[in-house]
Amino acid sequence: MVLRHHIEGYENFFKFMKNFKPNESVYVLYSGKKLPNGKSWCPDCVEAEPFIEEGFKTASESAHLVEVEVGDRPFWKDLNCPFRTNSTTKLRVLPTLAKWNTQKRLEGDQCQKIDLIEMLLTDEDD
Amino acid sequence: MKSRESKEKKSWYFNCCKKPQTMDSDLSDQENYTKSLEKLVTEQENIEADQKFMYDLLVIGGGSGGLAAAKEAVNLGAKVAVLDFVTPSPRGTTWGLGGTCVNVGCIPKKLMHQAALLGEAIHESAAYGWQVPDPNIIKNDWQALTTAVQNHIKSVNWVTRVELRTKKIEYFNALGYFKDQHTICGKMKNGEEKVFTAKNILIAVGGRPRYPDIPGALEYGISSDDIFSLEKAPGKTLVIGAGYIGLECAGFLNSLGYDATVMVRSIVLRGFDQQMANTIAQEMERRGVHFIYQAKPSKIEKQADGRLLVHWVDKERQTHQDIFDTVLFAIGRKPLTEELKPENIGLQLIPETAKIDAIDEQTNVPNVYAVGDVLHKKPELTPVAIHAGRLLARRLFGNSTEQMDYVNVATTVFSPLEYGCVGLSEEAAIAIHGEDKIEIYHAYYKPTEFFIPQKDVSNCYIKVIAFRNGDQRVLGMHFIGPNAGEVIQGFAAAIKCNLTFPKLKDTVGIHPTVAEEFTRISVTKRSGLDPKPQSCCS
Repeated sequence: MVLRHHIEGYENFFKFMKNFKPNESVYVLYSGKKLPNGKSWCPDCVEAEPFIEEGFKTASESAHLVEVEVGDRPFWKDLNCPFRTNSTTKLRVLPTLAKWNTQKRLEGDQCQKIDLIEMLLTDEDD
Repeated sequence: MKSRESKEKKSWYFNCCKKPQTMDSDLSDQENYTKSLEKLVTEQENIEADQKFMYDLLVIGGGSGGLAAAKEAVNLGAKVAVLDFVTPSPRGTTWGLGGTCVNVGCIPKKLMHQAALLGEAIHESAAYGWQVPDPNIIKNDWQALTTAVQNHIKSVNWVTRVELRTKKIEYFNALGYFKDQHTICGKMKNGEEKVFTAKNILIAVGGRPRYPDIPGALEYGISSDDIFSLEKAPGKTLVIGAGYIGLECAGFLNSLGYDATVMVRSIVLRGFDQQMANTIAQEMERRGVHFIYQAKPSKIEKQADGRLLVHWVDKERQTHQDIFDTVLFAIGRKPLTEELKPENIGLQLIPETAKIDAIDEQTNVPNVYAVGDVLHKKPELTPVAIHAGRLLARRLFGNSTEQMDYVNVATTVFSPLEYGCVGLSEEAAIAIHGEDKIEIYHAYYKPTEFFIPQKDVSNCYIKVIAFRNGDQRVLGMHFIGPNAGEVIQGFAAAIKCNLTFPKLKDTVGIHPTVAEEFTRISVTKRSGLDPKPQSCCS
């Protein structure tokens, strides 16, 4: 089972990502902040959840999955949201599932396709 | 002898695995009758025979042409696989799925050209009131540039992977070669071989840069395969070859601040209009690119300090030498057809070039097709490969009869001052139609935005070649100036619609643009009048 981490907010996220060494397999799931009911405000993120759970079952034991709650709806909808403008995260869509330190990412309903998640986990080219 | 394919224009489903075509078509009626009975039976068998192939279409080469054909084929219901494999360049560079254009061609080239244009714009901006600290201390960071370019490429590689997976096109990172006309062996990275069978096979393997057979070339030289991901800034660079790739590389390197020299064996931009080609070279020289004409490299040696000592021979057989940090070969490209083991299926290649002389993209082996840079005497351009691949897939799987038109394809050389053209060069027009039959219109012009920063306009030049009589149909259009590709694309559509010179003259321009200069052109070469503009504008 993959090693899971949970982070909230932009500054916390970047501070946390410094913990990883460049050769580690780190995957990041960007989704909307959770509401009091425990579900994200972003319906697509909620819908993707079970597929991501399923897809990561086969992930290597040494792989990390960092689940980051980017923020509430107004924070995300602001086109100057730092997760959008930062040249590393450059988010356009929630949810986004990305392999850290690569250009590989699945956006929106691509996160609901098990075979694409598998490809993200197994693809060796960078 | 037109299409080999038209004989078998029925449903694609029935004509896989057809019997080998023989030359003895003079059959008696009785034989014909038996043959047609046999044919009915064979067609029935073929339905079952189809099941024995793993794929309806197997594409060798995941570049522009191959991927376009693969996507179109799956959209039409075919079962498709793509094999792609990048053999490392002599210096060890490799890349991902997508072919030359995306990885080591058009895309990185255009991005580096853009970097060069932006550098130029920084200097001009001061004249437009921007308070730039000191333009002369502004430097380009090679690592930052290549990282940005490579990241873009890698994201395209990935998006392509996702697209193939989503469309259910099977992708294998394997180097394919023919076992028989329906069987391909794919050699994987780990050396293992995988066997694929397909009813139709598309060769879309493209080409790779050639190296000259001189000491040191392979050891110390690089090519366009390497330049866009070079770890260290290239420094003083010798570009050997003056085709469009050589000129573009030398152009952006010079603009990025590196000393760049082009070594020309005979002429600049072979195959292009030579007046335009020489104008481009002149403009590059004016901007600081050095040119060594009529010279051939003879040896490259690595010095103790790591720099490269290049020896060359001029037309008087005098030898010269100079020291460079980087030597880039751009002397031409060779198709990767020998690697396919063409002898295993009797696939015919043009002996001198190893290219494939396909008729309507069909090779001499009926179920084996080819698109892109492997084709003999066809433009080596990404959009050409894409269009041909897409139309081929429609003919194979969509009952289409539409053929690729390779004539009047526009193109652009992204030299510092760009050159776009469509149709015939002046030389070709004269050779085909005769000097008396054609009229050459030409003009120098001054882009509005060049005045304030006092940019040199001496090489902003356009030319239109048309029939002299009759409908005065336009045969060729040539443009040197900013945004040449954007300018020439629309005129290419007009030429496709049989643009005539009177229609061009009857078109109202958009002011102030550089493209409108084509609507203002009136001076003929024959008249001997001065093609330089009389006043600043209008």
